[in-house]
Amino acid sequence: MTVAWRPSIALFAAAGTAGVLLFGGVALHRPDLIALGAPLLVWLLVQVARAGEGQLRVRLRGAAATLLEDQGTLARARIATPAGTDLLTVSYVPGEWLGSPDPPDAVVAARPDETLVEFEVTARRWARTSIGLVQVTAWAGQGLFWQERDSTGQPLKILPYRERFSVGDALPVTTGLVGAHRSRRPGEGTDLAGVRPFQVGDRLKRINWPVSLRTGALHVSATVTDLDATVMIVLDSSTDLVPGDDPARLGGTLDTAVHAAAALAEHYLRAGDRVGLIDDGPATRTVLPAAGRAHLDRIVDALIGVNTTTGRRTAPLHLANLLSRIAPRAMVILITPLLEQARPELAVEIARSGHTVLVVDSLGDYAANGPPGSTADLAWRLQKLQHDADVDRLADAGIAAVRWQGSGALNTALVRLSRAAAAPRLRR
Amino acid sequence: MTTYWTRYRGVPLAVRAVVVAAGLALLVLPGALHPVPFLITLAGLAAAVAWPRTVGVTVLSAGFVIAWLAAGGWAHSLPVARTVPAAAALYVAHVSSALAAAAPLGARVERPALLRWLRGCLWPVLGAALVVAVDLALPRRTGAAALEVAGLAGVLLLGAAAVWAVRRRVAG
Repeated sequence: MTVAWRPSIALFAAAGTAGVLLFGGVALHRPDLIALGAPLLVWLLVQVARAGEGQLRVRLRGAAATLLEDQGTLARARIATPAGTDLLTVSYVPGEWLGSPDPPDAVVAARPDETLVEFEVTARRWARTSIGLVQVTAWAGQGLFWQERDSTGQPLKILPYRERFSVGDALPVTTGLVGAHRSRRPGEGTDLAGVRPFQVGDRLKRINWPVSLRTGALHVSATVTDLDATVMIVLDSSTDLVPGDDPARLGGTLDTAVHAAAALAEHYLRAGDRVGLIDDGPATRTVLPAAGRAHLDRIVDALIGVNTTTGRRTAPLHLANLLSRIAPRAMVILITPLLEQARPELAVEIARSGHTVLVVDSLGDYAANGPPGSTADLAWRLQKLQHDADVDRLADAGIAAVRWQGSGALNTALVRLSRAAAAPRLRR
Repeated sequence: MTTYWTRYRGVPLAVRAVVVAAGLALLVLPGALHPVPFLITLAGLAAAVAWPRTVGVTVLSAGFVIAWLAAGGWAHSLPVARTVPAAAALYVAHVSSALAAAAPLGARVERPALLRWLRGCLWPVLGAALVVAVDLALPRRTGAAALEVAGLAGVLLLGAAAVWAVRRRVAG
């Protein structure tokens, strides 16, 4: 038996009223009462006969499975209705971090084969979420019968908008022989270092024939070796301060940090470097360093899975040890709002373990919500003083802390780090 | 600017307005005003408009039936010019309340759904108007009230049969 219609309160109201009127008309010999109840009775009989069999089936899908921030798509509810269905009430709840300009409810006439109802949705911020939830109530007999089904939509990825990020060719720590960075060492590479006389062992393909013919002696084009680098991005996702306590948490410190991490990862991966990620939040997640376009997808995938219910990790994590194990000699970019005492100390610890560290300050223009002089304002000013003092302490320890401002924000700091790395060192 | 009222859409409000109109007709049509059934009908109407998925329309109907009985007494039928519009109003109140239960105030309602409801409401109202017109146009009223109602019901059925035949021909 596939009939799943349930009587609505309208059915009981109409049947009760018609029954009382007809019974009263017969009992009291009042034809006017029968006339009052007759339309309701006819309506009930006709609609009961019309309600067919079948089951309601609902499927919710998005027009796209992956979106960028602020990109829009359609949530499509495909509804197969039982015979006799008149109306459908479709209630749609967008998934987390999605917004819909449409009203949440729609009343549509059921179509015989399949009814399609669409809702516009817009991605508000990066996330791994679902397209939403739809609840469908099918009405038969002009509202006398109903049945209800709901459906959860397919998973949806919202990728962070990756700001075009440029930085000079200055990475203080380089390794390997295949990357895009220039070294000072002569050897096999692509960048021209000069033209010099031929020596035993030089490859014949390096002979510079125009110069050799002009001078009468064999000359070769000398090149410098190419280098690549390993960049480990450490994302502090334990704190998220949002301006105005926006429930969508847009423009918060975590939002800034994720955007910065995505932009940095894309830049260095496009440059041919190996990039890894450590999400240092309530739960630590690691993406091992690798190169290539597919690896960018892995890193962005990890970034959109950052736990937005921020909190402190209970078990201590020895980040310096972890970094030394998975990426020795890597350059570490620590993205943090520097609001906890432990964060500057972490940067110092990583630096002491032999890594070159650059701190990217994701605090941005955050300011407390309270009016000037209020407790919230006072507390925030104290916190900001502590933050500024931490930045100074880092500078004293030789670690640059740069405020994230997008393209070109890291140039100066990276050039300084490169010079410092190239300078002669004293061994104690 | 987003205001409280912008969350509400025109069609769901119009459906509730029709419930109000039908309810007001049910308040007025019994003729004599008795406070208790009047208040019951009014409370039912308010509930049917504000919470259409509750027993509001049942209370509205109960108040109307009591008012109708109180107006005519146990033995006397009320005239056709009141009975037929009251039957139509009762029917429209039930049908519109059922649609109001399906259409939340903020919902967008598609035109086919609206037309289906309008068609459902329109034919009893037109039929009632026709019957009342015939009743008023008759030169003199003869016979018992039962005979009169039966004759008018026959006219109504004939009209409905004609409409049904035309619709079948159009659909075919």
